[in-house]
Amino acid sequence: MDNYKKADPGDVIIFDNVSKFYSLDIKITKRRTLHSIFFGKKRGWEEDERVRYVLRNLTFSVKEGEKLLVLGPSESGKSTIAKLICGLAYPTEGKVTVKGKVRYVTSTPVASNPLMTLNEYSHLLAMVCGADARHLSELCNGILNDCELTDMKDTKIYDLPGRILKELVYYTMLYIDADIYIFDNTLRLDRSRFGDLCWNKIEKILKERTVVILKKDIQHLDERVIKYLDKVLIIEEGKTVSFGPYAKIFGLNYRTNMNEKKEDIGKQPSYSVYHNGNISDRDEQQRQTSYPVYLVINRILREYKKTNSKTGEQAPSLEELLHVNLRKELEEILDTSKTIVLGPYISDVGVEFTYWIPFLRWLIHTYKLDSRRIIAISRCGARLWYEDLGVEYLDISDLMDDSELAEYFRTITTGWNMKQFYLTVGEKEILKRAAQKAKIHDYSLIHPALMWNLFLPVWKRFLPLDFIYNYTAYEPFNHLCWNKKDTFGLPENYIVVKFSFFPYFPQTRENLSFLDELIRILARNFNVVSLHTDILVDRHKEFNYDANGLYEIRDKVNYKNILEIQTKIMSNAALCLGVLGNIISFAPYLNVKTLSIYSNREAGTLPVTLTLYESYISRFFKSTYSALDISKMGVSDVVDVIEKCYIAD
Amino acid sequence: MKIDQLKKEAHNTVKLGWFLFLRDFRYRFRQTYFGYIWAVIKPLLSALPIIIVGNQFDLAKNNPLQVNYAVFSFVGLMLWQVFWDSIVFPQWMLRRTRSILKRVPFKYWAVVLAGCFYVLFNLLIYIVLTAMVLIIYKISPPWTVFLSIFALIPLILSGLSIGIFIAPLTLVYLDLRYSLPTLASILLWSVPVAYVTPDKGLLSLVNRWNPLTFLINTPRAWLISGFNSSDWLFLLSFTLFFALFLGSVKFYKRAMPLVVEQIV
Repeated sequence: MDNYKKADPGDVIIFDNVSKFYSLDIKITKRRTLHSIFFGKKRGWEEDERVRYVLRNLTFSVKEGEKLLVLGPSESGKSTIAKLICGLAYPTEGKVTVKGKVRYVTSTPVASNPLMTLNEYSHLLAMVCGADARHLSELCNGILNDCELTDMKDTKIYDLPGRILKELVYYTMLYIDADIYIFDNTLRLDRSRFGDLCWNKIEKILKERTVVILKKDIQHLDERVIKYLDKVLIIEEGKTVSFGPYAKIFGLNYRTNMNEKKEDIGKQPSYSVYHNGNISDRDEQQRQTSYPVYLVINRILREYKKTNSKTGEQAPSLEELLHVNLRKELEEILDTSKTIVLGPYISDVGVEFTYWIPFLRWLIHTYKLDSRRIIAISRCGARLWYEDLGVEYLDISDLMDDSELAEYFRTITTGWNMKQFYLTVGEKEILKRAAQKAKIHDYSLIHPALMWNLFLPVWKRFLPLDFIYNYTAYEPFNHLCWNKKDTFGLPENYIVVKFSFFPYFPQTRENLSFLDELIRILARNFNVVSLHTDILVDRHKEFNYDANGLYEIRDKVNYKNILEIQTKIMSNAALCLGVLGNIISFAPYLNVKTLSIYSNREAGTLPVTLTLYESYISRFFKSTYSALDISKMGVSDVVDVIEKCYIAD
Repeated sequence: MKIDQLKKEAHNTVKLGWFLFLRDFRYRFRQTYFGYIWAVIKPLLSALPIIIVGNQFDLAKNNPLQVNYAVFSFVGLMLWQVFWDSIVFPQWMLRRTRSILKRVPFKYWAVVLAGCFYVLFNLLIYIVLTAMVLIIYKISPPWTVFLSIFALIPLILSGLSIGIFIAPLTLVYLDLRYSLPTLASILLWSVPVAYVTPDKGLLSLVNRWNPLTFLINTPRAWLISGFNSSDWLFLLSFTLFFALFLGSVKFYKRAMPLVVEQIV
């Protein structure tokens, strides 16, 4: 980007090649500050000085009246940008120009004194915010009146609940005029009386003033605000990832879609327009999605590698970095009394019950969340799995009509990758519809990206499996409740089979012929129920075998109930046989004996997941779980094992 | 238009300084049992030991003002206190408002003004106490008493010239803050506040070359006995301090944005 030496006269905020770093040596920091104070100029690098860059060569400008959204993960430099604009920090290199009075909107009580009365504090606060002293009393009366605090104006701050003080501070910050407003994660838009009061002011500010909004991701940003955004700056590790007009950055005209929605609520946009599962191209992905959360894990891994190579044993461990990051994320998400939305989960079925649901259980237990105010969103009838957690459940099928649902699954399952490392625009649309259906206006979102990013280092074998145990709670699904007499027309004793292809059980000629023979033998000797259907829930292809002699469920299932029907059928089975990673691996949670097969133990995530099942999860289940390496066994050996299991039952 | 704007800004800054002063003032005294009585007791208690000891050793023997030692030293101590308050309160207020400074962008000068309000509040008490001492000892001041009151302004500005300079530094480095009590006693005894300048020796040299000597001695003389032959040195000393004051103002303006970032 060009330098802003030829700045537009209309620019009110100009960052010209701004860098900010902190020395890691406190003595050098002291010396540098003292030198700057006395001589007004920055000293250069000192020999062997180690520094931490917060911002690197940041160049952007905001014109008068424009609204800029700054997106970036924790510690990417957002707050430093805010401080530089406010004059609460100064750039180490480059130049920051700000024209006009800046308001750093916060609800943290500043300058409060517990022995002051509310009226006294209101006056002080108004003056701190730069109010005109000539109209101070009228101004403060107006603020107290709007906040319905007139009756309490003579009450000491000490005797007031903290909430009142916070509301007063926040409203005063909005009420008193400024030229530039900075909202550093402080947009208050809840649908309460006070929220509406604030929104009236915020809307006026958005219409008339220059605004900078700093957020970690766009998912919590209200639609009412989005429509005013002019520019977006995405930063990562203090560097510009992207800067430009909002519509260009996100690759769609959100405002147009919003307007269409207002005009015709029933005419909803097609998911295929919104969703793109392809994340192979970074720019493409940024255009098509909201903030790429998956960058967080890359950043952590990079940071880990960097610090580890530099300082050896003294560097924080990767576990510590991930733990701190998770805690930070959760503190931001969970520190509210809002409804908590979990999901939407649209990815691999196996990951859902092996990692996602145990992660949620851990989260609910650890943070003592009230399950009554939690709504989980998943798909294809996973209702029973989530109801076991005691939370409310919303199925994606409840939010779309059949054709739209089929189109959606066709799109996501044929995409390059459907892992949820970030919140896609399609998922955002799901969330919007879910909020409408559940009649919730404001909620805290726990997106599967949180879990995917957290566990990725384990799946990639950067960390031992023990790391996952710290953030999961495994239990049998004891609370599943349904009419067990519903036999779906199946015999009393049966074996359930379902084979899908994974890296550790690839679609090779040997494996296909193995399955052919196995199915034929089993069908001759046992009642075998095939869970195979034509409905693709995730991207793992299924073995399409000759159904002769098998009990079928194709005619019983659709996108709305497939996982529910399969779960119920498995729970009544004597034995479940399949491949680890597909729904068969849910059988141990139902205390049903399970056998899974594989042909390449070292491929994909099998070493991790297999160890998890064999050495950890199995201790929580009454039934047995076994995995067979068919590369070392013949079909007859496998049939022998199955017979033994079946008879033992 | 620009002048109106400047006037408005100045008015707002003074008002903010006033509110910051009130905030701190209330907090300071509302937590005590004796409340505002402390504002009077403190200067009395700090002056009393010096007066007693000085009286015992007749430190003001042959003082040029020809008054009782208690009057001589008490007036000197009150003037000294005005000067010292002007040094201490800007940094005191700056430290008291550091949580605001690091969170909200606002006018730094308001903090100095809040410190000045403290100085003025204490000054009122010192004036009342001094008047009471003069009444008790039946001293009728000459007409130059009015000059002594005007002389308080240069005295405060001189104190502020140091106070404004050290204030930003104490935000980042506590060294100066820790050394202030020691500095107070060194400075106090380097000025003939509670004694008469000796004719010879090191102390005589220090007194004669210390510009503070004239900032205390001249207003004291104007209050008790009238004009003095060395009054021009008061103006010279003030000129020196005024130059320092201008430099400090410039320094404060430059240093504050830098130190605000370092506040912890």
